[in-house]
Amino acid sequence: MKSWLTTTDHKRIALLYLGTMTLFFTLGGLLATVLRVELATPASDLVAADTYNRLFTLHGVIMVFFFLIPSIPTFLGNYLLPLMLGAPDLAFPRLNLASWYVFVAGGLLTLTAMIAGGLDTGWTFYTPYSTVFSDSHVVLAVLGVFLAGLSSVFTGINFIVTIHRLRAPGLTWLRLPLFVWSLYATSLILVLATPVLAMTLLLVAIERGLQIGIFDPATGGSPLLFQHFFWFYSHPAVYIMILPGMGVISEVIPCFSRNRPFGYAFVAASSLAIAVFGFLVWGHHMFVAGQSYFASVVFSFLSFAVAVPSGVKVFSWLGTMHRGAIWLTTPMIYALGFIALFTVGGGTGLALATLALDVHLHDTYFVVAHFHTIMVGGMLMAYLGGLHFWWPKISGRLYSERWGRIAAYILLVGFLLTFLPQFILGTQGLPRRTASYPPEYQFLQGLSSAGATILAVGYVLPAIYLLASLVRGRPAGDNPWGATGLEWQTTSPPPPHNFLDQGTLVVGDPYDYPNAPQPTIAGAGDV
Amino acid sequence: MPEAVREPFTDLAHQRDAVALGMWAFLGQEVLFFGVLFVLYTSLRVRHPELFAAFGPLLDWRLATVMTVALLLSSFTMALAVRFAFTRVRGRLVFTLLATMILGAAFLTMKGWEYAHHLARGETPIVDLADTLAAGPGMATFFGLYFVLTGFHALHVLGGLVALAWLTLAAWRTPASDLRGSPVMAVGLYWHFVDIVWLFLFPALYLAARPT
Repeated sequence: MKSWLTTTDHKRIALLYLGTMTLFFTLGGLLATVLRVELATPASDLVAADTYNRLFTLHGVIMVFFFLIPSIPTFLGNYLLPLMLGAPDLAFPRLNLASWYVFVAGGLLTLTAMIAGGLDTGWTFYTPYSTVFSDSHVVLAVLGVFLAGLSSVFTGINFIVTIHRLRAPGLTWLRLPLFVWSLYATSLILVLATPVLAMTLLLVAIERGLQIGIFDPATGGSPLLFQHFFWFYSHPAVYIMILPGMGVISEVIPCFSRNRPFGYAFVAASSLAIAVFGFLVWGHHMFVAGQSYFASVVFSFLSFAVAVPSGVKVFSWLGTMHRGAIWLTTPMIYALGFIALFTVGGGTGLALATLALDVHLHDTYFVVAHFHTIMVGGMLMAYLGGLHFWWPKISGRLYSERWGRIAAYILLVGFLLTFLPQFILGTQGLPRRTASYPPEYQFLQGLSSAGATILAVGYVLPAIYLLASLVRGRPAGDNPWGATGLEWQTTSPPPPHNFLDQGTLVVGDPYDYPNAPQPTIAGAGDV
Repeated sequence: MPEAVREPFTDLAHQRDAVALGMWAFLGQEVLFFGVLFVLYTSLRVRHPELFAAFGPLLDWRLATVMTVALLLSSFTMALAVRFAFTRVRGRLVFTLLATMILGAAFLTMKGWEYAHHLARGETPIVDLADTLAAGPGMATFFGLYFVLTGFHALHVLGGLVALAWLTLAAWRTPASDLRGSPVMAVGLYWHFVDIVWLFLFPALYLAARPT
């Protein structure tokens, strides 16, 4: 126990993050379950409206700040980055451990706020409601999120320095795995956007706690300024969530298509392009908030521009599969699900970025469905795909491939049934964040709640068979998928210092699939 | 014995390089952190210039000039300390670190004295936000901005003093041949950054609104 809590080994810290984030994800999922049960009937009968507000706020805060943002970087990134670079550890191992402690402290503060009665501002903490009018535990919660942000900054700095300074000899920038490129772009956003949210949340805490009018219009402050600050972080944060997911997909697709990634350099550059464009589109959250009309036009145009590098990635994945030998394993099913759902999520994002259309769709279920398609359909699929892809490396065991595929299909069906009806509800004008709704929407809401039940089964299954694999799984071997990449050249699980005892590493084309080793997993005879 | 090389590095120059890059990345995020405050300042100044004209002259620019000089001198002694850390001159390193700490502490003392005087004169940022019949933008708005901006800066100075105290203790306990340059260099970068923030705050708050 003590050796785990004082470890500076990046692999152990990654597993600490995995455990912590799984707890937060479970909590956020339970909150969502209550929301969906409440929404099965039009009346507000299971929980009162005020409780409902607190439930969706906590669901949002926990899922966004304590699962989606840290998930892939702090777990898969932490575990794999040094392995992929051929390094013994991250550049600052103790900073890495500190980031986990700060993260846990932030989580505990937020949980304290929840137990003390929760907060009802929505995850966006809009002023002046959050600072003047709300009768809930705003200060505790924003300080918790502030600490989670600080932990992100630590991780971002660590990744940037590691990628710059700890690449193995011969590992040039254009030989980096695409997952590393996506982590690099993500880290830039983590370091350059998170401080803006951090300061803004501190200002909210100061305004509310000390009664200093900062954003309060009554004392000359500007609530719109708060929204600018908030979205200056929180829009790039969307790319913090999705970019590492795209990186995972860019690893999984070449491996299970047995093909080089199509347009490697363009995919690498598109990660950076998404990071840069991502900083220039925050105003599309404020089209109806009263910002300048001309600013809205520019923000709308730039939001459309982000679709270009995103499209580059989608076409690269399709091009990689083209004339490849596709092998439909569990990670590959998740990757294919990601491509389909990300395209739907991105396309509906363009609908929302259209000025005139947004006036109708703003604050409806269409928005809810849009970002859940990107976050749950995209990011979470990638997270689970990555988890299944690297699980044999991390645990040294093989999970049940049959159950893996069943769970992946259940998740896809559950997802579509949960969120497709919400797109329709939104176009019909049903506003989000209400506990009760007119009875004519009940059919679609009921479908959505039924889908959420299937989705929940899809989440519980991997927890069962992955844990079971630790006890009953067959040994995975060093490279069960026959993948290229340095992480597959070491043992499963890797030794404490990764490569120190292995002599010289061979570093060449990162995706030399025509000459890749044969998969050692059973049932791979057709590859 | 050479400067300690820590995991995951195998040679000293490599490690020093990484520490410097890490610190620059951290300062990059600090720029954005303070950037929010400067945007807040700009927004208020553009929308309510009359607040600055009315209450800016209440700030003591003479004292602030002395504080600026103290910080600039501390940056000079800090730069010397970095040099002495790398050349492993232990006595001078401890002396320059102590000098930096004293100048930084002098800055904070003057800042505290200034705060106390503003509060004693009733120049307070605190208002009752729930009171919807409050007077509107006024002295509390201006001093809210003043206390928040200078307060975050002062906290950074305080953090720097803690780091300097830790460096001084480490230098005191370490034989000259084992002195490590990288931590002093990293704290030095941070200290200079905090000085530079003040160099923007000083004219923005104390000088900008003065009648010419």
